[in-house]
Amino acid sequence: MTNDRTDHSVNQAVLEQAGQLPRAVTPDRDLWPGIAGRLGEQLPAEEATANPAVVTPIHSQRLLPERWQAPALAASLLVALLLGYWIGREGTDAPSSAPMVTETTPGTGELRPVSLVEEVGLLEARNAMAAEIEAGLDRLPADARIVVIDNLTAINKALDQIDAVLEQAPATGLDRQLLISMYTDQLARLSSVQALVMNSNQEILL
Amino acid sequence: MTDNSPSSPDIGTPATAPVEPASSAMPQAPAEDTLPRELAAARNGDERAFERIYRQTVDAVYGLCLRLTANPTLAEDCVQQTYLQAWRNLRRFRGDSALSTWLHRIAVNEVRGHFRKEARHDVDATEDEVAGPAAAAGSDIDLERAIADLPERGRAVFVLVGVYGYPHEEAARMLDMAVGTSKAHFHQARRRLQQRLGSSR
Repeated sequence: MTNDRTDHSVNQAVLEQAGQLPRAVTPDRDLWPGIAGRLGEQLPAEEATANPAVVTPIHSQRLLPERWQAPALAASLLVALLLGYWIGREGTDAPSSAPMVTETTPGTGELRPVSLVEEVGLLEARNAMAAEIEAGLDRLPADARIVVIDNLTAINKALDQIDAVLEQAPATGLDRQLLISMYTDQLARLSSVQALVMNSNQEILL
Repeated sequence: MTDNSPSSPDIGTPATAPVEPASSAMPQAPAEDTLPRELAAARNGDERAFERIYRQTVDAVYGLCLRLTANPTLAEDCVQQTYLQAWRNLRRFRGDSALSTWLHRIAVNEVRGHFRKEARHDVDATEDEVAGPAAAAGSDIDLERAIADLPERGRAVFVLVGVYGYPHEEAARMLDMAVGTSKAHFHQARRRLQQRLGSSR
């Protein structure tokens, strides 16, 4: 109880302090000459296509053609429902403060944490999707391939982070919901990429 | 689900501008009421007017870039790219959001672009380059360092929400992630900061 109060007060103190940090920081040198010297430059073609998000609303930059958005959304919803079911089931089986999941390694009796994605069979699904995407990457135009590789890198990085967190600290119910939210977001991206590859394959076949 | 953002941003409010915490200690926003004239002139190609915009806003943009990158040299590059992009796209800025918010969006995009390239080329930042704003004093230095040590995405969310007071909707939009993901990163970042700083309090 005392620890909880201490944690809460530290938490509040950190947040208040963060909110009062100076937002403006003066650069050590004047950056304007470097900017002024380039104002007249023509925009290189690569930069013009690589950084369109400056003025384009993010949600209009979707990789997917419209006809694939619905299937991708459906896949994401399915995953979310599965995860929701899993959370509910866990919530009734174990107190929220209990360690998330452990299992015994065959033959050793050693307890080890079970990854969330393993528990709901998502790891296999993810690997299958990744393999399918990888097989189709060569068929994509160069620009699209770069975007896909970028996204896959981000997905893998996020998944590694999630697994690391889950292995290090027993998660509470809230943590699980937050992490799952992040995970479903990443899976939605994966679905989008997969759909793009599938779409590319179809066009090639046609 | 609770949200303990320091400025208590209202999740339901339109994300058109940062939510200013009701604290007299907070720095004042740039005097944007003087900028429409400069904006109009800059849109017509007046570089001097654009320089005045730069002078009025650069500290806020640099502060954000420095915290997002934790690297002064990289932050300077991102600031320069931000203003170049802003110059090239000034005509498309319609004033739907505050100029500072628009510049912050571009800055976040530049930083993300850098990290994407870094991931593609598998270049890791060296530890000794990691740094936060040096002007911080006392325990603020500890907090700045702790923020600088956060993982990339957690740091970005915490800086935007916790330091700059943006609602999660706006932070998520800038970072191209779901609102729930933004909250998850914020939660993790806050917990890491709490663990790191808690023992010294």
